[in-house]
Amino acid sequence: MTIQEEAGTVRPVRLITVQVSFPVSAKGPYRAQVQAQDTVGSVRLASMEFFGVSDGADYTYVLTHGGQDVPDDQTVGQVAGEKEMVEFRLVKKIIQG
Amino acid sequence: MADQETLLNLAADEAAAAGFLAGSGGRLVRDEADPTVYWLTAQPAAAAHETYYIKVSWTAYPQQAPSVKFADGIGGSVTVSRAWPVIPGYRAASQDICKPMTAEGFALHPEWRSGPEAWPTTGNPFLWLAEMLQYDLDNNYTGRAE
Repeated sequence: MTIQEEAGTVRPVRLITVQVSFPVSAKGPYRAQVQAQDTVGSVRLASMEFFGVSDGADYTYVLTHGGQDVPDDQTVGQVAGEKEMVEFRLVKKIIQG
Repeated sequence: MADQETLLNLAADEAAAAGFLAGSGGRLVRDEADPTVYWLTAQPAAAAHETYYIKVSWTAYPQQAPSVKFADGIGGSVTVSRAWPVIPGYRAASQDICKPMTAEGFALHPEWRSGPEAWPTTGNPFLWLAEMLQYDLDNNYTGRAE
């Protein structure tokens, strides 16, 4: 896959496979191939739609990688580094208590 | 005593929960006397030297949330305040987790029993609980309770 830039040059698009697990879904994990510059937030929303969940007044869903929250504005490429695949976990972040 | 279905369902799901905890340096031990009780060990990512022991007592799995208590060791006392981490919603004084993921939380807030806060019964709720506990230790932990 390539991107045609304004100057007419063509540069390759780096694709990264993402996998999001969510243990209490009846489905298996969410998998997709996305561009490296795509944001983690876009993956979060796509996986939430896949799993059929949405944010509520007292909780939000976040993606974690290596146990840590990953901000929505981070790119998949930043998380992946040199790797071609990134695994996330979708976690229900409960606010009340 | 738990029904046979609960024991079979727990047996089917415990390996994934154990595998997840192992990935974070923790482990899962089934109680020798009561097969519906599990002891989890877990460490916060930011304080790997601090080991927490969590007693998870199931009644009907996967239909009902378990009782979750922090203990001073595997098989140890669940009435020790210092066994608890300081995390919003984790209350060492009353020894409960006031969140819609424990029997204690649902007892305190019956309104959580239905709707989006309800206990999840599909997939692997045991793994889900382990992930929620580890998430709080990794992202919301500020120290050990006094």
